[in-house]
Amino acid sequence: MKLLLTSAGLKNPSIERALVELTGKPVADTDALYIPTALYGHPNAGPRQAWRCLSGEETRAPLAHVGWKSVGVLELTALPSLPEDTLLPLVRSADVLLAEGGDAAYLAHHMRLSGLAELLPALDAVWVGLSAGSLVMTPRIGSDFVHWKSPEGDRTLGVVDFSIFPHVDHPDLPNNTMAAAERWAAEIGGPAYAVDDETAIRVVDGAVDVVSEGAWTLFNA
Amino acid sequence: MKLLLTSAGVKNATIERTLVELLGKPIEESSALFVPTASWGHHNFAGVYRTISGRSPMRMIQLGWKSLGVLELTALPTLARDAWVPAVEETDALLVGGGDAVYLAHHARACGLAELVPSLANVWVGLSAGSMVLTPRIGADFMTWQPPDGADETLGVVGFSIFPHVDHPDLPENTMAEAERWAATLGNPAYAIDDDTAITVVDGAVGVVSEGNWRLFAG
Repeated sequence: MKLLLTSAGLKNPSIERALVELTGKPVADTDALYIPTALYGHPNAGPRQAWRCLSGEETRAPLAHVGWKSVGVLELTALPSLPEDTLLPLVRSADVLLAEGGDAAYLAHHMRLSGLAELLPALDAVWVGLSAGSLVMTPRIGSDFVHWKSPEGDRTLGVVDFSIFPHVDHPDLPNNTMAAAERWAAEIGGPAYAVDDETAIRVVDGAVDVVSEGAWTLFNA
Repeated sequence: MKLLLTSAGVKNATIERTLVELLGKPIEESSALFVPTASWGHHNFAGVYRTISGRSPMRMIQLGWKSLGVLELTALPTLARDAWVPAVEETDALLVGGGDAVYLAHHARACGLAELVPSLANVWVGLSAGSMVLTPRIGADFMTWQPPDGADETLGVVGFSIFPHVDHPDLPENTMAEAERWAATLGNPAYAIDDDTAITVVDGAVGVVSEGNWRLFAG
């Protein structure tokens, strides 16, 4: 599976160009499945923010409304109560899976429970993560980003071997400084990227590179 | 809780006027939470995006609400109750979308919303399955999703069943004659309503508001 791990979605032309290279087709020809699940798990998100993201009112972090050919909603918490053969054809029909932000541990929990985590290695679709939708692919998120109490603690899916600190120097998030990211990285121990909202991390066949019109740092390299 | 049980949303001026009466204030001053959950039971994954984007032909969310949120019932059992119960208690309206009524009933019970409903002071605006979920049963004709017990039972907040979309041009099986056969299988009173009709329930008193066609079967 190819990954485009963003902090705030398809925020600038460099990130959008990286996506088009990964999918091999224009956004307007791309079928998307949008995963809102992480929104429900985070105290600063919830019902109101879920509406803003799904309806397109949220313009600071573009993901669901950037001109896709089609968008379906993949609600992971609904899957365990649907027939077992629901998920695979659905995700196979999509060119991109759009993982919205919110609570990464909550998202990881429901990716495991729904069976999506297990299917990931076999998928051709590109995973486009936004904030928690990116963090969920890392081995752990660090105690700073734990809100929902997961049986797995701060452990997420570990599809990649680095951690991510998103939204560096965001004007609305005064705690998200590069100095705070450095302290956070010391707790993580392993390789860890701190990225601002103009930056994304691309992973193809295990090869990692950074696409950015902004600022980022790699710790513990 | 006050109920406005529609077939296809707030389709005409009469239903809209009734909604404002039930809210006790203009829609522009009222908050609402949309429940998409029934859609998943019919595998309607694209419909939820269209609805929330305001592209559904059925009017319910695009009425000019003061604020809107998404209440996803399947997500609630893994959240703390105080993360969602206050939002449900404070909202002026719950807008409950269509899809599979038995699937919706299953999740309304599983998350605890079903037991909260009688104590809520707000307005439940149901659309199709979002209306049928409050009835005692939906009848075999409307079963798609198979619940663990295989039964067609829904929440039974009201004492009658509902056959929606009578004489809808895209649904040739939804005739009044078909509704009459369906009603005979139920064992309780039942309304058959077209898309221009809604049923109101306030303090147990049932009324019908309509610019279209409906029938009550005694059961």
